[in-house]
Amino acid sequence: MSPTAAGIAHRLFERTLWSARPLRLLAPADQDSAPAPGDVHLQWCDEPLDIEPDAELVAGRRGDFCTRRSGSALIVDRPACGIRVRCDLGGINLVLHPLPAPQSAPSGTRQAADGLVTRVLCRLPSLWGQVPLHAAALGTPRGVVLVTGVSGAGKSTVSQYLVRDHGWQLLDDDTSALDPRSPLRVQPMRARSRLHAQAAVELGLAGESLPAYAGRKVALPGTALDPAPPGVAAVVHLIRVPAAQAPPGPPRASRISGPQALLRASAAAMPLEPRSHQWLANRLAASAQLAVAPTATLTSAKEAVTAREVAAGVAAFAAAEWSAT
Amino acid sequence: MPTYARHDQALHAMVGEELVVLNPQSLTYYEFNEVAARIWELLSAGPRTADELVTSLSAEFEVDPDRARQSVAAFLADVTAKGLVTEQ
Repeated sequence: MSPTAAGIAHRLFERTLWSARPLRLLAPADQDSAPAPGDVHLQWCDEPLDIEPDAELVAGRRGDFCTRRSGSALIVDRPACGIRVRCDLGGINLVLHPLPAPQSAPSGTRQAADGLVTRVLCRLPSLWGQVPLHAAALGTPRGVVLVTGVSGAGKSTVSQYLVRDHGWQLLDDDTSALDPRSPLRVQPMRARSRLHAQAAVELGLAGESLPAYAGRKVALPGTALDPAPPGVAAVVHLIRVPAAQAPPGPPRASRISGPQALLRASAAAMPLEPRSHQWLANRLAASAQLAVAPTATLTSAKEAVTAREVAAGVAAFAAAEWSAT
Repeated sequence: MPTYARHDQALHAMVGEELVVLNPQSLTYYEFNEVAARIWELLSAGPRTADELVTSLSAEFEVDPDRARQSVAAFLADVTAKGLVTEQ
C-alpha cells in the first residue's frame, strides 16, 4: 500500500477509509480510486486533545473505555491503547490523538492503530444509521450465518473450524453490520482475523503477534473479500460455561423464540452512543429483522468441549434448519 | 375519566407474530401477547380511555365486558408503572 494525497485506502465494512498511516488489521482497498462521498477520513495528530472536564459521558466510565460528547463531536477514549479519538457525529471525519498525561499509556503507533480498529472503528456504523454486531459472519450457500458471543466465547476459533471442516466462507470473525432500512443484508467489517495464539498453533496457522493483546492473540492474513451472500440463514449465540453447568453430551444448539432472539441480537449490538433514541430505534429494527432467522444458543463446557466440536454443533443446527425448509 | 397514551419515546417492533416493546429509559424489553399487542395498536392511533379499550376488545375478542374491563385495568396499571404508557 502506498499512500496517495488522500492517504492509504482501507476497507471498512462497505466503505473506504483513508488514513495517512497504515491500519494493518484492515484489508487494503483499491488505492487507485478517488475518495468518494461517504468515505471515512482519519487524521493522525501527535498532540494530545484536551476536552472540557464536564463533557457529557454517553458510554463507559471516565478513565476507562468511554465516549463523551464535546460540542458537535464524540470523543472516544481507549486508555489501554493510549488513544483519544475525535469523531464527527456523522462518523466520517476522525482524528486520532494520544491521550493527555497522566492518562497516556506507553503505546506505539501500531498498538494505537490496532486499538482504534478493534474498539472504535468497529462501532462506526452506529453513526451511519446501521447496527454493528459483535458477531462473526460466515458465507454459506443459504446465506450468511452469524455467530455471536462475548469476547473469549470462541467466535474466531469456531469460525476457522467452520471454514476448514464445513467449507463455509469466512467474511469476518468478529464484527458485522446490519442496515435496518433495507432488506436484511450483512456487511462484514473485513478486518483481519484475531485468534488466540494457542488456537492458531493448533490450526497450523501462522499469525502476527498483537501487542494490544499482550501477545495472547495473533492476527491472521486477511479474510476473503468476496461479497457476502444475501440474507441471514441462521444465527447462533455461543455460550461457554464451567463444565458443571454445561449440558451433558456433545454441544447441541437450542432453538430460541423470536423475542428471545431479538434480545440476544440487541445485546450483541455495539454503539458509540448507546442511549441515543435514533440508535435505539435502529437497533430494535435491525434486531427484529434478524430475529426472524433461525436462531439458537449453543452452550458448551469451557474445559471439556473443543472449538471444533462447537463448530460441528453450529453446522448441525444450520443443516437441520435448512433441511426443514 | 383519564385517557391513556403511548409514551412518545417507547419503541416497538414485530418479530414474526410477536410484539416487543422497548422502554428507552430503562432499556428494558417487554414481550406483548396478542391482546396486549392490540391495546398497544389502539393506543398507537391516539389516546384512549379504559372504557374505549374495553369496548373494542370485548367486540374483537368476543369476551365478556367485565372480564375485558379487569384485563384492561390490570394491563394499563402494569404498562403505566413500566413507563410505556402515560395517564392523562
